[in-house]
Amino acid sequence: MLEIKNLHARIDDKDILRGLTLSVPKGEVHAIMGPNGSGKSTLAYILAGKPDYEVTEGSITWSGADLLEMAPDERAHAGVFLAFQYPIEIPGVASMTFLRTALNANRRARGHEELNTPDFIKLVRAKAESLNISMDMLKRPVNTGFSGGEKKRYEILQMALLEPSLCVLDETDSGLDIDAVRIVSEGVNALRSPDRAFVLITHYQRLLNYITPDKVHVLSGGRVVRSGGKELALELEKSGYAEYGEHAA
Amino acid sequence: MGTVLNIQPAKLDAVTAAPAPTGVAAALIAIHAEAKLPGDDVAWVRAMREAGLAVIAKRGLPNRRVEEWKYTDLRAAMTEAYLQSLTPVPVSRADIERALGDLAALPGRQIVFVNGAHAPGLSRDADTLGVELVILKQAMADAPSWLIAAFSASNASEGEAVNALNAAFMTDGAAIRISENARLTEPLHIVHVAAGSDAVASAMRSAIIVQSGAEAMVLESFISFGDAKAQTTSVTHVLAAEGAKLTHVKYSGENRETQHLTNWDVKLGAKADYLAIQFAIGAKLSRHQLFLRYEGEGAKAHFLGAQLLRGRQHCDMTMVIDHAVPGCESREHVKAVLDDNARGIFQAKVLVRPDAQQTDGRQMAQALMLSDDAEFDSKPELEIYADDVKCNHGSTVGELDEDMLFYFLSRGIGEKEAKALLIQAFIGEVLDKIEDETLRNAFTAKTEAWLAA
Repeated sequence: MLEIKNLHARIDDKDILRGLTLSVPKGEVHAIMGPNGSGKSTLAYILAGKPDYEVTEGSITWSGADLLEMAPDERAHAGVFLAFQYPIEIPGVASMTFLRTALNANRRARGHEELNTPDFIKLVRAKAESLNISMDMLKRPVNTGFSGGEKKRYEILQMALLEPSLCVLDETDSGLDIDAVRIVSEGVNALRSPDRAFVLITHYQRLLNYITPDKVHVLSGGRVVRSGGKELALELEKSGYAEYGEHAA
Repeated sequence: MGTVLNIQPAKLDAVTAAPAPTGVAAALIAIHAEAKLPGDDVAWVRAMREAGLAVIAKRGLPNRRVEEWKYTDLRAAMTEAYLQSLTPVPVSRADIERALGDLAALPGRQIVFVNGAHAPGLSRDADTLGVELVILKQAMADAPSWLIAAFSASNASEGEAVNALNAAFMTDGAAIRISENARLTEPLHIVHVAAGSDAVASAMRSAIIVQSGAEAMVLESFISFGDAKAQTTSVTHVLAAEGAKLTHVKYSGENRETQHLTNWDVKLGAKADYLAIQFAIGAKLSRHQLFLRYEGEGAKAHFLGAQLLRGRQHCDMTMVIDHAVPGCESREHVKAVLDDNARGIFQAKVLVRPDAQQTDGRQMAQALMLSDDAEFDSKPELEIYADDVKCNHGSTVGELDEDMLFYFLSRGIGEKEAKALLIQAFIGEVLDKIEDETLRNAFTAKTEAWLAA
């Protein structure tokens, strides 16, 4: 269970989250929707431990462990994974090297043996194939020269390899065409399991046509202002976020 | 403006105003008077030594008021002078291979010098078709004319300091001549070793002559065993004739008590292709000078430099690229990783003479600072007298990218490992340009070892 209680956070002296409370049980997918500037991406970064943000009040626990006390890599070892909205390009670090370093770091931290090269390549090949990622793409440096869709698929590939228990997806559908949304969604759906919780951050309802959420929460002004079932997303699609602080252009 | 290593007149006056050499310059002259150097009875050797000594006597060591030395004040840094070591020091092949690390995996001949003297027993040598090798000390008395010609030609200005210091004390070196159109399949590796428990000075002078149409790779490695102080000077004269191709590599991996002063003095014929690679990880103070002159059209010269420094290490890569003829290409790309109080320097002067139309010259210096106390100085100088040229330069100094680091951490990769990968990626932009896989892997392994230390 992910439990966020009365979370207040700021960046550069600007308050972004103002008393956010949210619970996501294992086995469920919760969508976080809301207007621009409501704090959605801030929530994602804070869960992953990005150092730019200052948490001034409140708590976050995952499976009972205090996430706010942990460094970003320790959170990853505890099962937290953030699929970035804008994955960063890292020239000079080969995609395969990155995957292997990450996988083995997590395996070590979780008390497993490191994977040898042939087993690693076999594993990547299988997971990459289901996400329509070519081995040629993985010969390039991390996210470097990747299209928008390739970057998002590479995020999901990392998620599939690292097998996190808390998956946070930040606007994974943004900038994707419909085929790419479908491929990414299938990748996410394949990972759904009773042991895994998903926090799905999205501005649009579109993604939820492919990944059916158990709950939908509306974030506005740094707090959850409304929660409901999947039908809430459809309602937002019709009415927009006007009543939550964003005005139609 | 004159060429970069001319000491400017006003400053020269100030230096020569001193009545007699003092400090280390005086000590060097005294040592020279005492020392019995090989070849003192050979006219051309004696003439070179005396010319070098005269410069030391007249100017002393260059200090920071000499523009070309403003970042490396040799007079302040060099506070002692030693005799050249006369007692043989036991060194084994295993020691050498350990110090070379993955560079030892390169095939081909190794010509080993210990404390400035050829060590045939430690060399890995066999006659190679198309290669003429002359060991300087043995050949002084009846040196081939090509060797004397190579040594007497220099692109450096009259009285250049490293040239003078080296000439005054040179004892040995390797002179290599590659026959026309010979394509060497294995590199030639000159290994300079400083060994023993006593402070040691050594001065090597070498030559690499690649005749027209020939292809070769020559490495010069500088290593040391133990913690003894060392002062090393080395001057290598290079001639790549028409259509010749030379890859010239330096590994500077000495202990942190070493002062390393070297010149590469290079002339390129028409359509020659020269690739210089310098990997500097050792020494307390190092100054790597390159004086390169194009003498035939359509030649190209690329310089790749890597500096990995920590503690109080000081590494200065300084070069003068003289486009004297049209249609030549020059590239310099230097990357420095600087930790603690280390200091990296890159000075590159590109001179494009009036006739040198269609010159294509680019340089880039990039430093990655791992500490607030490290320093990087980059001084590009473009001096262009032709109107149809493409020349540019760039320089960046930065820290590790926080967002990249967070991306690694968010995937469970620890901070040390993440930083190491990012630093390797930074240096990799230079190392990846090395085509020879064994060489590239050797320097990559040295980078990894440096990061793990």
